[in-house]
Amino acid sequence: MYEFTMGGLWFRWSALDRTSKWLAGPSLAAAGLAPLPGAWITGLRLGRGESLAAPLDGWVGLWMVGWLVVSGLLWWAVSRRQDEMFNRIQNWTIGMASSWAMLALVIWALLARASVVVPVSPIGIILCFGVAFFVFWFIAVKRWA
Amino acid sequence: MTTTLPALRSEHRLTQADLAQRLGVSRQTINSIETGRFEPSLTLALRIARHFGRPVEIIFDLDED
Repeated sequence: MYEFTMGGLWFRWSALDRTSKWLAGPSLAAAGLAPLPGAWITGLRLGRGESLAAPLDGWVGLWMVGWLVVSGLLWWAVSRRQDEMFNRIQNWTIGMASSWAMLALVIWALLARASVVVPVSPIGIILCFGVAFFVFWFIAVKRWA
Repeated sequence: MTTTLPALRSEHRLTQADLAQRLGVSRQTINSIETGRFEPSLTLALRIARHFGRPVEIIFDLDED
């Protein structure tokens, strides 16, 4: 069973049962693989001083979504093996992060429509949700765990 | 919500880890229930009560206010 460490930033690996380790390891690896091509290409563009506004190739998006789906499915299996406090923290975090990220994106889209900011990009959506997820995860862990 | 779980657990000479293992939850969950940060579901509350052979309202009660 999980045991949070570092205020929820990580969990004690040895506390997980054997099956959870076998599921969590590949899930985290898949999540790590997902952004690699996009980050590499963005890094190259930054290095060459090119515009970041140009869209990335289709395969980059497919690679990212594919690995994120694999990661998500494996993590879902990990979550099913944990107890109700873990799942309450995770579900609350996903709900809050989705709601606030959606609100931020709606505001962003409205501002973009008024030509105040650049249009919303797929990377921006993922980043927005990611930041909200981490913020609410820490709040949830501090509140319940 | 108030709980008599810490006293009951001590009475049975169980550590938080022992009780967590018997109930299939994490040690942190037991700790959070005992310190009042986490309110267990009805299912978990009933499982705890059944484990100690006591009525659930002896182990968990609502705050006066």
